[in-house]
Amino acid sequence: MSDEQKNEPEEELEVVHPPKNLKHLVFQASGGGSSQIDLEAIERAEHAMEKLSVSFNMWMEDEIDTLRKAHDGTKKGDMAGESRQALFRAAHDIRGEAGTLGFPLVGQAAGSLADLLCMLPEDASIPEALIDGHVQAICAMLRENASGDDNKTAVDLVNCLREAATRLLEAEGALDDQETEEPEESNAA
Amino acid sequence: MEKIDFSRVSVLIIDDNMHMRKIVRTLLMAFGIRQVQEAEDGATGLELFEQMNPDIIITDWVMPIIDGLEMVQMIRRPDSSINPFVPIIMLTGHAEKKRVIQARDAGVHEFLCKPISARALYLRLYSVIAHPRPFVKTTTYFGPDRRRFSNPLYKGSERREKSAILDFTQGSEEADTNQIDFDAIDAEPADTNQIDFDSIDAEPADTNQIDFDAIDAGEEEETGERVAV
Repeated sequence: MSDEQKNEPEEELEVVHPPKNLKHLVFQASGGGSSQIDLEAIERAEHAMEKLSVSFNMWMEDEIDTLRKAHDGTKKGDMAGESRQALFRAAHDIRGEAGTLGFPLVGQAAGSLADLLCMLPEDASIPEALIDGHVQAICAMLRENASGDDNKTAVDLVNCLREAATRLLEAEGALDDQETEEPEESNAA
Repeated sequence: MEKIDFSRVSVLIIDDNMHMRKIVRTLLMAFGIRQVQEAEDGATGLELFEQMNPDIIITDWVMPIIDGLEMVQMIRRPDSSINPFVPIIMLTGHAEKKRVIQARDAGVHEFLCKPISARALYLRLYSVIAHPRPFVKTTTYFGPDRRRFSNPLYKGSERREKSAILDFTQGSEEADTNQIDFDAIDAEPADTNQIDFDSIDAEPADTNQIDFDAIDAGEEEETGERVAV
């Protein structure tokens, strides 16, 4: 802490205890006592996800379809406003979902596209080829079922896209103050 | 020791993505939670929040009309919200430091980056239930207390020393992913003898938590490691 910060008067604060304590709710039900992590519950949830995973490919196709439609919307000469937002939301959804659905590389490519659309100001021009490249790569990776790092072509493709996007973001000064806290482990449950 | 029983806990999931809602619901039901409601945007989420007064909210960030952050800000208004204290877990594809800090400042309890895992979600739920935090009200903030404790009796190494990190993680069962340590966000870098009480309470190590001390202080620390003394 700097001297300047130390000399600042402390802001008045009030500490309030929430009226509802969820601890009572869960411990009454379990008969009291201290708690421990229920590894069986986590295992049950992982099994439930495995059962659900039969639908994951179909879900990814739905998401890619939404992305394609949003991309078509921007092709009609409207790369701003709602069209751009729709494309961003579609890419951002895939970024969040693809890893869980077993397509982390697709998630990375979608994340790169989402960053371009989110971090660059609306009046900044994004080369159409870069947007097209992202969308085509995402579609191709799903079509080829490129789900992991063992697919070297897909890995190289994602790296190329990410590098191109980063170069543009850097050139536009959009990466200042944008440190990312990446999770160490990408665990598709 | 008792296993935590979620059967009487109610949860509201707010996410515009149908598939993600389905995944989160599936995980919650497997944990034993019976009362799960879903909303597909922030506005509907607010309506449902007022109707069902859930025990916990799990919300996405990017949503049309009212996004997750705006919704959290509305819920954390003590003068108008039906339960401004409700624990909120932000589940999002955003992982940028700026976003995490925005979420913290809006009053989010826990921040969970997608992709989601059963273990990561369980530990967030466990955290908000087993380690409830008091709230702090200032002129600019209403939300869970994010200050850290100082314990003058503590004689061990400083909280974030590497040795402390190693000791803790070596003794753990498995690593968790994606968790943010909001407790730590505002503390000073050289503040010794601080104890993260949440981490000493015998849960498995949460090795991918983001330590905001390190972020704010500009320290070079491996990201995501939950640390304890």
